[in-house]
Amino acid sequence: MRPCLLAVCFLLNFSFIQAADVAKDFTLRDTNPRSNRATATVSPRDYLLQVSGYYFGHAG
Amino acid sequence: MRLANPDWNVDILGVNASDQLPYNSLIISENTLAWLQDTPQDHVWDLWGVNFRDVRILDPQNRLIATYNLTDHDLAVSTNRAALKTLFLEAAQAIDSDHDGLPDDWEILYFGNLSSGPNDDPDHDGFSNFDEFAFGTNPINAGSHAPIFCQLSWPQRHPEFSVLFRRPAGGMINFTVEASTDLATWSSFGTQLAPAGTPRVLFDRTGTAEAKYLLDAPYGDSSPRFIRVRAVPRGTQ
Repeated sequence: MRPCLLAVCFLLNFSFIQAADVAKDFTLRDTNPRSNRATATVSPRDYLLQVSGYYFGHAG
Repeated sequence: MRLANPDWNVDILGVNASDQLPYNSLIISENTLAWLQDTPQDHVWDLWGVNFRDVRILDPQNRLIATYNLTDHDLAVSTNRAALKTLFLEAAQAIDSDHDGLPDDWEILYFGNLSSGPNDDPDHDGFSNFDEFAFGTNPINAGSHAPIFCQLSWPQRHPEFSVLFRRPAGGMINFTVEASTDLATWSSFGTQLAPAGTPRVLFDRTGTAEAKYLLDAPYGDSSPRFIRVRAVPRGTQ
């Protein structure tokens, strides 16, 4: 019987996804009147040549 | 984060779940974070395949480079905050692998490779690639010229002289506003033109911001002066 190799996977503290694919585009409205883009429609493409971070949360 | 680190070219936005619209006032009353509202029609949460409390970080070419979940890594823990900050810091470091003063992302966006140099002028408009990068113009479009505006206005009945120009939103370049009485000798000393706050990012897919300088105090004499904006790579004179 062939020896069976047990692959051990460990969960990293954070996940890196290989920087290959461009994130899918979208256009959403900024609902915060206090932000620097208040009422504007915002797309990730607005942030080309900049680094942008997106937090997916719940207002409630 | 931007106010504390004006040299960073980073913006963070929130994306509210489509069924959470009624609760927006709870979030936006306390902060200035751009808070984008997802909709059932846009379904961005599904489009990006996110989990609740994911932070997704995109590089300057809009490629996903990191996901950091705040349920798994509570930001009340200092090491988690440090890890997230490190992710953004590393992403924000402008990479210039050929050391020509032009960020790799900028060269790839406009030329598709890193073969161009800072002194090249591919659109033959008299502005070098470094000039085009420094002032946020298109290096392959001869019709794209650096808009530098001088403006005299009277807000609240006091004269205000300002100089506005575009610049990269990050901190790779130092800008000085200089004055001359004869177009031969230029000096930044005594120009009394000072930056008016942090540059206003334009979000127009060019990674540029609008910088504004104000004349802090009137010159002591009535001699006319010429104004110019000089850009040099950070770390050089």
